[in-house]
Amino acid sequence: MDDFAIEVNDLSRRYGRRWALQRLHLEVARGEILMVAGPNGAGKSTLLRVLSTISRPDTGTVRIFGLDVVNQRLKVRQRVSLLDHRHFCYGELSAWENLELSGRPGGMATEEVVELIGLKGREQDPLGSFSAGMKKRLALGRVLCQGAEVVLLDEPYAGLDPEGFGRLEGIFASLAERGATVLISTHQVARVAPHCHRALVLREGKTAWLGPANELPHDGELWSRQQ
Amino acid sequence: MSLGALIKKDFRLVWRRKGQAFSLFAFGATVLLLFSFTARPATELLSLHGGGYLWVALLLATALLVNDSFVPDQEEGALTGLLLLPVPAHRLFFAKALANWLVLLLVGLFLLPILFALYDLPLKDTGGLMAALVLGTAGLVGPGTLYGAMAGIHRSGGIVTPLLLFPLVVPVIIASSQLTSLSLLGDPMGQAKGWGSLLLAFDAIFWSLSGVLFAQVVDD
Repeated sequence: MDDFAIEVNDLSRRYGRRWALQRLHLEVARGEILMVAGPNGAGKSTLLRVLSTISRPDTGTVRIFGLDVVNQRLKVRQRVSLLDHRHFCYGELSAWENLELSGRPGGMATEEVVELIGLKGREQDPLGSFSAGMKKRLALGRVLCQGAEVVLLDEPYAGLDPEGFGRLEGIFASLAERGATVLISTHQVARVAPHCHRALVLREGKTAWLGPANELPHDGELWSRQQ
Repeated sequence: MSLGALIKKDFRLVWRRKGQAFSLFAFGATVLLLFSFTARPATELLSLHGGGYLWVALLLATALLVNDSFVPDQEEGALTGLLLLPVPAHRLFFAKALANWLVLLLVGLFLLPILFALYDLPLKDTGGLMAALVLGTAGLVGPGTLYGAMAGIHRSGGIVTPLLLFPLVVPVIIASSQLTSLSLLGDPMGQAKGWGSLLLAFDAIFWSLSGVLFAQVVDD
């Protein structure tokens, strides 16, 4: 039995000559909800993409439940779910068909998900007819259909309307209730912090602050782009 | 996710983009029409080479078909979403290749009446003609689907697919043209079986190989 759901050790990742993550260390306990914050370009999305196995680390190791994200990526993928900037959905298929396609054993039933994300009555419509906010809801629905043990949410509030914000908070609660380990990358710090155990602030790919979410400082220097 | 569910998804995408299949048919018919002008007034040449012209039309249609076939998978990262479920890459390949095969086979079938009408061809062996269409189109879409994925996913543009595909499928074009001509004009020397076996071997090798290589293209 592994103590940690996620173990990041000396992780670096670069795009061209720019380092998106630099020698990052992080451990996330099972069932923990961690907020990942920081200015644009700080490395939040890159961290989530490496954890999801989409991107590979340039140096360092990343383990999910003791499984290496490079060498055991198929096993890692069975236990991880990612909400990305892209929706991972087919524009020509209906919302229902997309959710059915994304389901995994152990995930929520499609009907239940449609209700929870507020797309009841529109589930047979093609995705091409959806607004950006509705597509975001569907992408959240995909994550719920998968019932993963580690859930990575990259900017989950982006594109949602106020009603969607409320539904999203309900989703956070349902993930916490079933003991999922959740990483939420966001700029909506004040809104997300109450749902999280800890917060990680990244700046220029490095840890700028890590601690309990309710002790997160709000000073300007921590949130500025340059060190 | 099962291969059956993926096949259902890809066939559904084909059905919702059925305009594309019609465009391919129109394109193939235009190619046949243009070839019919090149040999006039020696129309007997058309009868002799009609099978070959059909396969050139289908080869050109394949390049267009496979280049577009990954567009819906790329638009919102849907292919990445499936890989993360995780779905083994070779299953994604076989589902997509089967959908492409169905489309090209239908285009080929609908081009036959045009071929007969324009080139005034006889038909000696219907079974042989159908075998040529089934095996030949499979030989084109197997490696074609792999190269289509390379062009689509790495955004290398539409020119890469024909550059890579055309030299590779020369044996398919030769064997399919021969098998088609023998079916149309008669096979007094019993050569059809040999060409059919060549196509079958090519299909088996390149569908297997492309299935294995697909993972390197989409997931590395």
